[in-house]
Amino acid sequence: VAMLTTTAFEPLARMQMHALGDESLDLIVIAHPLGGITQAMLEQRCGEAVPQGLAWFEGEARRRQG
Amino acid sequence: VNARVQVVADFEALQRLAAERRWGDGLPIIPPTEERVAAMLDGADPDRSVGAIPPGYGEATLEVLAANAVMAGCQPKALPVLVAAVEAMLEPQFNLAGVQATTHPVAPLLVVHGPVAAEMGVNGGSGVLGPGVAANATLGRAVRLVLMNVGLARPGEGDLSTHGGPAKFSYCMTENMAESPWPEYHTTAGLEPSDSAVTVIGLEAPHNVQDHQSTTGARFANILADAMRELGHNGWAISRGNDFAVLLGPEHAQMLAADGWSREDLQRFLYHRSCRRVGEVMEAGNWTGREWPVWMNALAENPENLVPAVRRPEEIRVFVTGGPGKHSAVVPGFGGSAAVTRRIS
Repeated sequence: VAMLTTTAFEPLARMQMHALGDESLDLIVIAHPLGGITQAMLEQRCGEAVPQGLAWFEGEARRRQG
Repeated sequence: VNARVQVVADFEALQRLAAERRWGDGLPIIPPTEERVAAMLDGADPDRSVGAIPPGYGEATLEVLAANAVMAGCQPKALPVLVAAVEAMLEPQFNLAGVQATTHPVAPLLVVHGPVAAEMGVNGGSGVLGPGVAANATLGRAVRLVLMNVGLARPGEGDLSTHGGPAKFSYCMTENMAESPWPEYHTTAGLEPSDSAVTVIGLEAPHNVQDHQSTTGARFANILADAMRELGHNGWAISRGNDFAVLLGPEHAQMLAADGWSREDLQRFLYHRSCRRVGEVMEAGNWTGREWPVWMNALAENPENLVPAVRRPEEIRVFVTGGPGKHSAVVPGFGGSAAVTRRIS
């Protein structure tokens, strides 16, 4: 499992990961904000998320293959 | 969160340590000495846990709650009220994790019902939500200290509210039953008037509604409804619990009652009169992100249809409170939290 967050919420995400005992959870962090942005900015956010997501998928696949 | 910390017996040193470690709300705290905490516990099991407070998930044992009640300045008999309030906030429908961490300025309003309100001296009269009465100020503050010290809802960390708000310091009241024409609120939740209870509701700060002119309940109720219709509140978009509180000044409540209105009549009227055209709501701040039930999305297919500011009349929580004057208040909710009423054991 990975969690997607914006930069503004990253400290909260890390606090909850620590409090709930799952600090190994992977975070995909993109620029804040997500609301009230233009289509171009939204595509920029996607551009940030996709490489991180792919890297997470690849890492997860390697882990599962041992 | 639950670690014991030894501090030298010096008031100023404790305040400096609290500031360094971000304990509390920024105001001076009463030193939670073992004697004071024991008096607050009054024989209750200090290790009994009420639950874990998000987003930091510190364990709210009775000892921890008692320590925070002491720090807030509460009188010893406040602990059962605080325990009931925390238990209520931990009910799933209250969505405390959301209330704590959101960018919205929501704070839990604590309403104290039944005999315990008078026993503790909780104010339901003039200036009910303002300063000047210890029971309101300290009970509300104790709730906030628990949310900050046990739940770690500190500004910019566990509490991401864009502006925060004065209601996050202390937000506690009771109804003015000496002047109310209607049964006390907790009876609407199936409790007896003789029961002591608390209600927690996630709300913004109150918005005043003055009406010095109306001589009929209907004319006044229209003005209340108008104040509920503004497009900026969360409820237009989010419907996972969409409470609105209406704080009726006793003079306004008596005018309604004299015209034959019950609390339920007012709820139904406001439900209908707070509607807006879908075409107008489309201009609200989170139209594309709205979470509406299927019947509202069906209404949304025609911009001329009307949709309500709340999803059910019962979500309009009506209280009679405050002192003399032609003022009432409407208080928008968070949108993602539903009120919980709990008997005090």
